[in-house]
Amino acid sequence: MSCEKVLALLNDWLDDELDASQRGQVRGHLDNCVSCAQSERSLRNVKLLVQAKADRGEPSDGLRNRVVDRLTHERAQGPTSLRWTRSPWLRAAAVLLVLASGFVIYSVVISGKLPSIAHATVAEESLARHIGTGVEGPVEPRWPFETIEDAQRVLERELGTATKLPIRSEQLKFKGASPTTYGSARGVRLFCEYKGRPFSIFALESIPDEVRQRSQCCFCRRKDDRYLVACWAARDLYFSMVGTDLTEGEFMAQLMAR
Amino acid sequence: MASKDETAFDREAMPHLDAVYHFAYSLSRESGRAEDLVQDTYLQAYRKFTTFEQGTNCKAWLFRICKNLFIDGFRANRRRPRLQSIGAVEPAQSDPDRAIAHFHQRGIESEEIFLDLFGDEVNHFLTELPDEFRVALILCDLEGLCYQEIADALEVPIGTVRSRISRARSFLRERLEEYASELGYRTTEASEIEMDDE
Repeated sequence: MSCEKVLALLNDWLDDELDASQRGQVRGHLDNCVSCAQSERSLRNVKLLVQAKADRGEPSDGLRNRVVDRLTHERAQGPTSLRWTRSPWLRAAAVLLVLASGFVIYSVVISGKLPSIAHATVAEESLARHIGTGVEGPVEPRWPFETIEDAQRVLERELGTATKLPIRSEQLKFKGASPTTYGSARGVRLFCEYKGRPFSIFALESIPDEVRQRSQCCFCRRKDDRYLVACWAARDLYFSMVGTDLTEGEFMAQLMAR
Repeated sequence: MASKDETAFDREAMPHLDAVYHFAYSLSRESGRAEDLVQDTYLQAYRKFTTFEQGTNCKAWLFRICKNLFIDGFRANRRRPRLQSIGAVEPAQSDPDRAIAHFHQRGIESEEIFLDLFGDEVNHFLTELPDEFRVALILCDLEGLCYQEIADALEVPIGTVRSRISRARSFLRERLEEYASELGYRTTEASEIEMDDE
């Protein structure tokens, strides 16, 4: 192999990119050519110098934790279409939906009225805005539960036992309730507290036009990141759950912590 | 993502976090920006992990994501990567005779002198390299990727990788030799002549 050819292959030689045959030829040449061997050492030293001296930067101590935190958050959210299934809170609301649906079916049997069918979700801002401005008054719940005590009893029973969710009923405190409206729909807002955090459950008697013709659930937050909403609408029922002072990150962190 | 995929992601991707940081740093040369790039890289990698072909080089795959995010960042900031021509710094590779003469006459072959002589100058000379040359060299020398893996990461032909590494080393060698000469260091040939004179 000529000096010219060997010099052309020196980087491949240094980087172990040659096949066995080429390596043998280059090695043989270097063993017998002082000039090319000197050139090889020169180039090798450049490589060594880069390896020894190049500033690679050093990641801060917290970088790995920050990456893990972001991935944890991402995992907690999961695919958009499935996010609600991963949240105990949302699953609890789903239980309420089933219960309330049963109530509607029962009502239909009793009253003979057939509820209209609709699937719904809500545009994020629209939902947050409407829920946030719902008309609230004295505690006069009428629907879907006959009394606040009824609602509380069902919630506690389902959250604490039937669903076997990690939400402990004793940690869910009912602070009160009031009638509310969402557009033209009437309903009840239950004021709760879970681990000291305000938490509301809405139950409306019908699906407002704003949410009609949409899918069944959504997971929302306001732009200021201080408002988390999950809602369900099916048949003539509409539920939403609102964490009023949690950031999404705090909310998900709480869920993950359990 | 299924839990088994999440486990695979942790197993395949997380061990390379430091390497991704070093790569991000070589791209951005700013620690804060590098850490942002790392976080964005892992988030995107997680979301795209189902497209990762198991058994292939995950580190190169992460580097490719990181590189693309870095380029996207340039576009977003309307800032363009430094793409100066390196032809001017290549020591006459197109002329084999001159190249041979250059190697034979100007090589610095003493490893001890080399390593003792240079410090931050190496980093200074590295920053003089156009981004794409520096990154290829760092992936090779510091991250230990083979040429094909570098080609995959940078999404360029392997011949381009080979050329960039060769030119980058030639550039560095020339700069280092100039610096050594300024310090009074003499090549072996010159020393021998001097010794003969004595």
